[in-house]
Amino acid sequence: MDKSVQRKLDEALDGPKFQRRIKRRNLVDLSWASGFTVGGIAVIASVLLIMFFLVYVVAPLFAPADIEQGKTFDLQQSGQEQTLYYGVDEYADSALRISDSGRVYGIDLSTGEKLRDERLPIGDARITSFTRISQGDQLMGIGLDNGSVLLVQYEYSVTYPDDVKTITPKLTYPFGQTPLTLSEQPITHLSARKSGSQITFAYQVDGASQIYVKQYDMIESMLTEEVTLDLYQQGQFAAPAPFKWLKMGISMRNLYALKQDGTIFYFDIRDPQQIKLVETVNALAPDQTLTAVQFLIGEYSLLLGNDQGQVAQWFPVRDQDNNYFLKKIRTFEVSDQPIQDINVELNRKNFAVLDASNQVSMFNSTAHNNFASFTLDQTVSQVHISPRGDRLLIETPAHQLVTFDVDNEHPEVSMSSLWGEVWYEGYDEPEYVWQSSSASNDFEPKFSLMPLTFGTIKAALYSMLFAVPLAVLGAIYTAFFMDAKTRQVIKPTIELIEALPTVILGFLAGLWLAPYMEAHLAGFFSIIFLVPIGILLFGYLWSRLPEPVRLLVPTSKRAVLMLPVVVIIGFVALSLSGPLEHLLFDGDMRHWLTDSAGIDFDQRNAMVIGFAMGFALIPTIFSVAEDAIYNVPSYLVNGSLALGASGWQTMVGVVLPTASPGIFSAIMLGFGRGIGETMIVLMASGNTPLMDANLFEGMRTLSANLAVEMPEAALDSTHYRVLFLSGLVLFIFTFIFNTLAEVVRERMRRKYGSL
Amino acid sequence: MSEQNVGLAMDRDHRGMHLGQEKIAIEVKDWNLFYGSNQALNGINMSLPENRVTAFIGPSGCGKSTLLRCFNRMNDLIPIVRVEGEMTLHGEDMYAKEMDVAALRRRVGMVFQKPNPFPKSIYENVCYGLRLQGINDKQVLDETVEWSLQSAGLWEEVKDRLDANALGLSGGQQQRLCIARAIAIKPEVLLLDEPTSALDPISTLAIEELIFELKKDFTILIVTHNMQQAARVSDYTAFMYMGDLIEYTDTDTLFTNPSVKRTEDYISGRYG
Repeated sequence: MDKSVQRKLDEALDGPKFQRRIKRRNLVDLSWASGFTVGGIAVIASVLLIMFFLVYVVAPLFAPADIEQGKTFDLQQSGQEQTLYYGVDEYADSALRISDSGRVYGIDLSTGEKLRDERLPIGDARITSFTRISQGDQLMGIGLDNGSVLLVQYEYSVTYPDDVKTITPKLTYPFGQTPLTLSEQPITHLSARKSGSQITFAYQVDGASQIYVKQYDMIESMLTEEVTLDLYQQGQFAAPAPFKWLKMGISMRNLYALKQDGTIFYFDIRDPQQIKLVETVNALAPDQTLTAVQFLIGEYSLLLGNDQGQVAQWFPVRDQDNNYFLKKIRTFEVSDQPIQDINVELNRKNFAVLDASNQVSMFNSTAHNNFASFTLDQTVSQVHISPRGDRLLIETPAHQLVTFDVDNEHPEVSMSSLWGEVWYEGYDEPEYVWQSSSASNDFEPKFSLMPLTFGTIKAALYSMLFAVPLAVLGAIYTAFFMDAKTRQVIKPTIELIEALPTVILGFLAGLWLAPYMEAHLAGFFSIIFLVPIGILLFGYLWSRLPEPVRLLVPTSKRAVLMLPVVVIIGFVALSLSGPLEHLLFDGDMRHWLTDSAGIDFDQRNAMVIGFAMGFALIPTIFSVAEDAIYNVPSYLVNGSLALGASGWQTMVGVVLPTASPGIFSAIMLGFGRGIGETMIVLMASGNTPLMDANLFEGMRTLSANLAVEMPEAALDSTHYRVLFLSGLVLFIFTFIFNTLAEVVRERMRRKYGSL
Repeated sequence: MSEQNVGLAMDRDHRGMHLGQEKIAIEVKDWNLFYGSNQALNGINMSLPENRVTAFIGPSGCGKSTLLRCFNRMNDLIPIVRVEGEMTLHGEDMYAKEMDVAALRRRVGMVFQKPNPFPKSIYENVCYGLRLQGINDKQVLDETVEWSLQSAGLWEEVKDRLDANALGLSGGQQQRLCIARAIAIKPEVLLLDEPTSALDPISTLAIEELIFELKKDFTILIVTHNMQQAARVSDYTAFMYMGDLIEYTDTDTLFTNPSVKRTEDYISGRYG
């Protein structure tokens, strides 16, 4: 060897140059290693961050209510007055109190300052009864001992003198300051409702055994915009017995007279001239006494408090014959002390209960949960919730007003309202319902995640039903029986389907496939039967052909011969659809299904989703399953063949069991994708949140629901957070399926590890 | 004289002399095999005796494994392989059109270089071939499994864990399991393709002893890289080189007194 070459070699293999190179190499190694570590950790961190963000948004749904005692004020009043009514403004800064002696006080809830002190324009008449006419616009009726009713409305005005927000509560008289005369006698019981342009009064006067119902039209004068009441119709009926409470339900339809022993007389007063007693129910056990009665917001549900610390929610329910009857929906266990007072919130189905042991409990009726309870150390007589439910006013017999700040954003969510069957107002039975928004304010939001979860699984399962057989069988054929050349074409082609934007699939499915399928229903069903039969038949006929003919097509290419068979059978089946429907289904299978078979049919249904989403899932499942089968070591295949097994026997006996973990994870991966798939279900499923496994009905999936409702959900509202919760559920779903797939694959890999 | 001619000439001479008294299991006539356009076996002629161990030796790529795989038509699986010539098993044309390949492979069993038990239990591995033949009678299966494992010298080691996964066995045990699996279906001929090349010396010894036992029941053809092994276990030895059968005679003669120079060079370690 040349000396110089030897020297260069020596330098390269030892010495300072060598050391430097080693150092540099170690540095490069280290930087790559740290780069990979950082990348890996960043991936995990970002997944955790998404998870954390979801949990962060969802967590307040389940946070307990936060209650803090505020200030205590003296109700500066003269003598013994009982409070009839508190009106509180939206900001819970001021209150208006009407007392039974006819005085009206305005109170500043931050200072206790008296903002107003006046007397109702009732002259020397005495107040004998009181009713809230409509909780939404805070209209009230005050029954007087001269047989008339004064209609007053609570209002407040916000002004900014000297740039300080000042809220002034006041009473207005929408029908004038003159009381409306109903009778001559003192009105002992009064209940009224406003609906549209009508007000209906139901009342009883002192000494009478009749209950009167009078319906008035509100007539607005064109000139003065003054509204007057004009008697429209009236009726009367014998009061069944001495009763304590008279309550008229929403829409001026139902009237309830309640006795202290819990007997409810339920009248239908739609036609005041023909009042019917619908039923008489006893709402209580014999040893119980009714102590408080209140409508829940919406004036549909009655809340009945008894002397044993229970509040029961009742509302009329329709039976099969379209008849209404009162039904106890749920009971709230408050304590074992008599219920003293019930007060309801004006925006949500919340109410506060005060019992004789001075315990205040707050409930949400839909969620059936008790989100706050606390006991005061002084005797209290009344409780009132501010319109937004963020402040409680509690009155003591010593004429003090204790305020509490309530921080409770999402009372309507509980595990039972999310996942359980809930008996919503106006429903005939407990149901799983997703109905997140509505036009009306006193609407009961229905946040059951069950229909969405069900829809998600339904969509995924129906599409798996279509995708798994095709993808797995296709993978088996491609990996095991197809020759290498054809495989090299087929596999990438199928995988290319995955690159197809799902919005296009959804578009085609919703706008073309769904109506087409509806028109050719019989044809589609005959395809399901005819194609497999046709393929088998063709295979049999092929095997009967003389050998020279068969040898024209090489074994590995014979599958291609099936293509025209499938296409022709499909075409024939679809063109036979019309005649077939004439023959078997009276001309139209879709009508036959709904009319004769009693199966509901939607145009955008699970069958459309099965085909469209199944089509999208095929490449995922096919690709992974094909790899798994293809990667079964050839020496196992050879070992089996050498023992005298046919190709098919080898497939079933050795290849499939060995590839089973891969095939399993392919299916799981497909299922995971089916669960998360959005565009196709959004566009072709009809988005109806039903709980029905019917093939011909649509569904709404968690993902599609997110896509539909996220843009319209108010930031940080319950709806918004529940949507995030459904996102979290979706996340957990796919997480579970992917983890399951991974665990099974890992276990199998260990089992077959030494292969 | 070309090498090919020498090989053929020597082969004819020795076959006449030594194989004359043997009953012949497989007869090979003018056997050519092509990988596409490359010829891998050139006009092989040989008779393989029944109930004897015949070893195939030769340097890598000489075609000995290819020839072995012709005996159970495993080469059919390679699309580009084409064969010419005649091959008969007990007088039956193995490459006849009406010959069922699966049935032929049942009669000509094979054990591969690398142990390849199925990822199933030991019991199911041995049963596999039987079940393919439609045998599901528990008693028949049990007894055949025991007989096969005993014949393969594995019974004592595994009889208490027949339900254990075969992949938990050691390499040598796995290979004996593969032999047990192969003989369970009572083949006429057993092909061993370098059965010990992946094994340690002790396992190798066990397999070699087994081969000696098995020749009572089966005709055994073994391909080996290990000349000592060929010398130890075989009755006849064929030396192949570059797709030619150079010399084929009884083992003693081939190793002590080869008649072709190339054979002598190979067995004395001058190449290969």
